Amino acid sequence: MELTQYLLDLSGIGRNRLQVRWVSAAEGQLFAEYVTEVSDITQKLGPFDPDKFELPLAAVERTLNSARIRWLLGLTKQITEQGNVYNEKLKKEDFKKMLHRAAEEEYQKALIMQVLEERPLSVKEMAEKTGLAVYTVSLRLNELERCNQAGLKQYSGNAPIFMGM
Amino acid sequence: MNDWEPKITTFLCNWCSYGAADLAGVSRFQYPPNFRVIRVPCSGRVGPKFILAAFRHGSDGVWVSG
Repeated sequence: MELTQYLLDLSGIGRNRLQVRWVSAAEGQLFAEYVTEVSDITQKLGPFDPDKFELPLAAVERTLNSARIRWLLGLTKQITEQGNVYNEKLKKEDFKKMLHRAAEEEYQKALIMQVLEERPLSVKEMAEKTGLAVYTVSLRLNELERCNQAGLKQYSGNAPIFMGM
Repeated sequence: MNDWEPKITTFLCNWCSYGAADLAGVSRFQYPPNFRVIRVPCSGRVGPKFILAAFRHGSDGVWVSG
């Protein structure tokens, strides 16, 4: 939940569009209050345009499906409470920071993969489409290439064109 | 702007919040009508996919409650 909200922030959708509230079956009054509260928050945020956020939404989903994030999430308890194979334990805040860093990288990779799915592109075109910096794109692309998720397709003049695999 | 009503998708747990929503109705508390309720057997079942799908289908907010 927390990670999904973080990714919504990253993608420019904003974490406040996703709310979590716990209500028991005996708390009708509380429920009515929360309904009003959530409704007010969303009213303030204004309408959400899914067409404009199609790429970020797809990238968020891809990120949450990525092996790295799923591994990390699955290991949360083990790493923060029991320690890893070297018996090192991470503090909860440190783990969260690490998870966020990983999520950001995976999100950038997901954006790249998502735009490459349409057609092969040069680094500059990718940067334009995803809104990432050219340097960030080349870093992530390098990682993608190492994992055989993207590769060189051809040269157009001097500019290499990459494709998703 | 003021006559715009947000569309909010809510995932309510059958045993907790759905009961609460029922109770709120029975006890006639006033609350805004811009919610679309989806009852799930347990809010633990709600994954990121559900939430993203809700956004993709044009809801302005998502609320998970258990």
